[in-house]
Amino acid sequence: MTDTTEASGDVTDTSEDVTDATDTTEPPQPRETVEVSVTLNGESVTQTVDAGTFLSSFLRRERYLTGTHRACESTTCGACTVLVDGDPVKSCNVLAAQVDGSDLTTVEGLADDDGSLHPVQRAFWDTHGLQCGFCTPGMVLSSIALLEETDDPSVDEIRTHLSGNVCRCTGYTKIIESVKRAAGATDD
Amino acid sequence: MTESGQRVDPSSEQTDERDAHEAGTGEDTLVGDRVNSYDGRRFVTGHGEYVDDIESPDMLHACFARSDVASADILGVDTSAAAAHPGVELVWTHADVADHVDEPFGYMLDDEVVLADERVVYQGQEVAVVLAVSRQAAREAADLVEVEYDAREAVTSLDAALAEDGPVVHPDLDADPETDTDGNVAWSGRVVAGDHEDPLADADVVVEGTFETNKTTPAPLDTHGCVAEYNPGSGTLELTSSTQMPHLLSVEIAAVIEGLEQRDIVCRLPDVGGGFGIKLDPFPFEICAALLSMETERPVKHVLDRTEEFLAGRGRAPVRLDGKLGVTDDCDIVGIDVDMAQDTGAHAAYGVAVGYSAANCGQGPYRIPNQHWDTSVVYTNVMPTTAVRGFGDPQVTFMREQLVEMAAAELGVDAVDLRLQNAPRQDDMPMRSAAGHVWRNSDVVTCLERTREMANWDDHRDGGRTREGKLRGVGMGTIMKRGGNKSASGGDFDEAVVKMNREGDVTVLTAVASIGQGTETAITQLVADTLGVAVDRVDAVRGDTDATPEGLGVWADRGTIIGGSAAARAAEDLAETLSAVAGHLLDVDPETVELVDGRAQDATDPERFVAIPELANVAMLGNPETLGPEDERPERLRNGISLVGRGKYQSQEVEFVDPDTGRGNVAHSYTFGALAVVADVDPRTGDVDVVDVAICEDIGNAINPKLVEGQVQGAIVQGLGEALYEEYAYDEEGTLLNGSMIDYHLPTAEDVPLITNTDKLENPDPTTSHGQKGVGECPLVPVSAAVANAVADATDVRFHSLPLSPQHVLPELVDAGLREL
Repeated sequence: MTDTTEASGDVTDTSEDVTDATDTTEPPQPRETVEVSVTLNGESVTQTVDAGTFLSSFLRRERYLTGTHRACESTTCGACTVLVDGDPVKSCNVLAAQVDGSDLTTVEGLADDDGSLHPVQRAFWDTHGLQCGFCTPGMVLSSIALLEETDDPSVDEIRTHLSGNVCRCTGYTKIIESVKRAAGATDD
Repeated sequence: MTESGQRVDPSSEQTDERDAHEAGTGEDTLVGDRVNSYDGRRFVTGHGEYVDDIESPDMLHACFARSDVASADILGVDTSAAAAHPGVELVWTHADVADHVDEPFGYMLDDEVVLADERVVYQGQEVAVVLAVSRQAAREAADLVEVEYDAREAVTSLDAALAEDGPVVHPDLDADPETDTDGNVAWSGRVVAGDHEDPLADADVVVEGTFETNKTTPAPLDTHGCVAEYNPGSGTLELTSSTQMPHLLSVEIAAVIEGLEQRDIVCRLPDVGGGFGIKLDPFPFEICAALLSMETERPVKHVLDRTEEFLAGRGRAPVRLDGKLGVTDDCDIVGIDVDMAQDTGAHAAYGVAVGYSAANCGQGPYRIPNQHWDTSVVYTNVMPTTAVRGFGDPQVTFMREQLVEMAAAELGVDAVDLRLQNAPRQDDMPMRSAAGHVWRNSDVVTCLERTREMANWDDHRDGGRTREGKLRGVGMGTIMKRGGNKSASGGDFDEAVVKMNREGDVTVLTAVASIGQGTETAITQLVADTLGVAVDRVDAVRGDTDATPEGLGVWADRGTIIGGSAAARAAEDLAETLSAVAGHLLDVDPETVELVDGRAQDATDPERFVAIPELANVAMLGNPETLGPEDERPERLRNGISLVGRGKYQSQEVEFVDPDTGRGNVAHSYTFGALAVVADVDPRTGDVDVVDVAICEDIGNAINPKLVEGQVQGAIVQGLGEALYEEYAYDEEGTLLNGSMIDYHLPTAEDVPLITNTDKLENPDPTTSHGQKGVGECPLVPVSAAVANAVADATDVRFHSLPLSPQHVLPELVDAGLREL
């Protein structure tokens, strides 16, 4: 994946992605637009966007995937979390250009084609790990990333992992219980 | 669907419930079951539609230019650079809107303008509005609006606001004999009971203190926003707004915009990502979006960003309370005497109601015969405050519950015992409190006893040390929270319609809004239960002034009490029709027909039944071939069999408070409870770590225990954020210093304990459809008081102000000689 770290918005390693890399003798020239090729929820997508387009805007405005929410636009709240090559990334401060070549998963890509829910989605719904639903996509994706790393995380591991995702409704208890329950379901 | 199933045991829910819900077998239909959230499937799959998700090709985007300063005269506004910015359609200032609006406006006091005119009264106030082809272009252009200010002295504290001859925030209102405004005092009132001139006369022990609460925002993740679309052909305005009160919003907007009547405005709800009170007022963004759409005849979206939300999204009023509590040597609380000043910021919004409600309910769950409360709502040059979860109760509870524990210490008695002695007895109910509340059926005594036990009060009390060397203590707070209110709206009512199609599917039309609290889920349960159908055959249409009958929205914990009772009545109306049809078909008395498990059956012989879908089809078609000739049918089955049920619930219990005494039954019902906090104080850093929270409330019959738990847990954690971290910080000029989620810390999963030590009593309210009482706001009310009492128990230091964050706690520990390095 590109060197896209959560909360950094760091663009230093991506200059090749937004400039013409074939001619190394000329200084890089800024472009108005950039072509982005990604695997988005399992489908190959290639699209030309304004170079300054954030990943969250790319998903919401260009791909109509409005399940990626924006609430702080300062990488604090985590409502915009998506998976970039499996890692949770806050898409509000990452340029679409930075994820060129990546495998992206948004909340819309989790359920099976037949509509059956991902075990983590199922657990959040059944455990009531959601109320208004605004933080939910980010919480679900962040939890999936945790469970990819750790089969059966402890409560404290879950609390730490989710500390970059703010929820104003649930008080977190049922979110943490949802992750525990999903871990159990995954074991099955 | 027609086969009856075993009712799922709530205690063994999980797998059964999941399977049942997934399969749509309808076993989770009953009131009291742990049914999954109605909206949950859409939300976990990312298919909610919040206001910013709404897009159309011809949509324009609005953005405000906001004041950089808190208090200034406006000498001029130059919009030329903004208007020339690429993509900008138009830029408006006050002069452009003045002829189209009735100003000043406001929810309770007329003290607001849509765009600043001659002066700005807080940093973040709307000065100009830009309309552009994209949100980004509008934002960029808004930054190009040049405003020339002549600075005035800003009023940024209660002391400055109440000083003789100090600057006045609203000189026009002060000078206007038609308003109550006197200097910076927007409104003042009192609550008096018993010997109010000397309420402490009978006391042997008087404890007193001055307490100050913090200004906070409930910070719903989904910011305020709307889409306005005016149809010039019909002359109607469609306003889809992230609001808690669609019907009232149409009333409020019609009152401001010239030429629009309520009937010309259709208010609809998107999914609303949290409200917590601050989505009740009519806002300038809604008014401007409406006017801009009327001007351009195109849809206009106006969504605030997080910075705007912090500057102007409104929040909880800080209150200063000078309080005295009088107790006899025999531990009877005999009097309370309080002077409270509420810093409402630059506008009153719901502030007047917050003020009188706080004083009226200030006695809490105690019998206090002699009371004197003076309340003033005071203007300052900072962001307006308004309704926030708990209304004024958390502030006044912060004072009262500390005074109670101070009195217990003075008397040398246990603080829970003192509370128990003064709590009303369920046996004495129904009864009137001294301030006029009608308490019908609550057992606060058991709530107190259970909470003491759940928190291991007796073990933790009087402080101790943890193995890590922290100072540990336990403290309590109590709840006597009103549910419903009519003083602000003229009545407390909701209507509902429940309709069935020919296949037996049900739709309930309700005026309640969904802001995450789950009222719609409870309503679908009430309806399903009454009609004997599976809950997943019931859909809810919410808060749409075109489609749903009138109601007042969600605030004051009224949704399930009032809106739920209305929906239950509508379902009963339809159930009577279904029973009449089934009785006719089965040739039994409709009175003996029961609707259960998807069937209408003869209660005396359940093998004789009609499946609901079949029944609905027969009734909807209404043919003589199936029902017989019309003149041979029962009266109810002639002239068309309507599968539409209607219901209305109008509170006959709630009263307007008496303007002179402040007394009255301010709410429809009251929820009582107790909450205890165990807190560790780090003597090295001043950090307060809440390690356990125990709560027991009497919430009446729980319609959905799972959603109740969610509300309780969420409210407690919101309260912990306010108690431990959050405060608006302004400099002397009224400039906000921490207006971002980086600088204003909201609690995260790492900051708070799991909230699982929860219990409830279910003493039903006798007036509501299923005995339900209010739930959602209540658990927040006692949190800051309980935290302060726990810290006092741990340290012997009494904290009089919020939040209890290290920068405030550590200096006090130093002064008390408790600081350790």
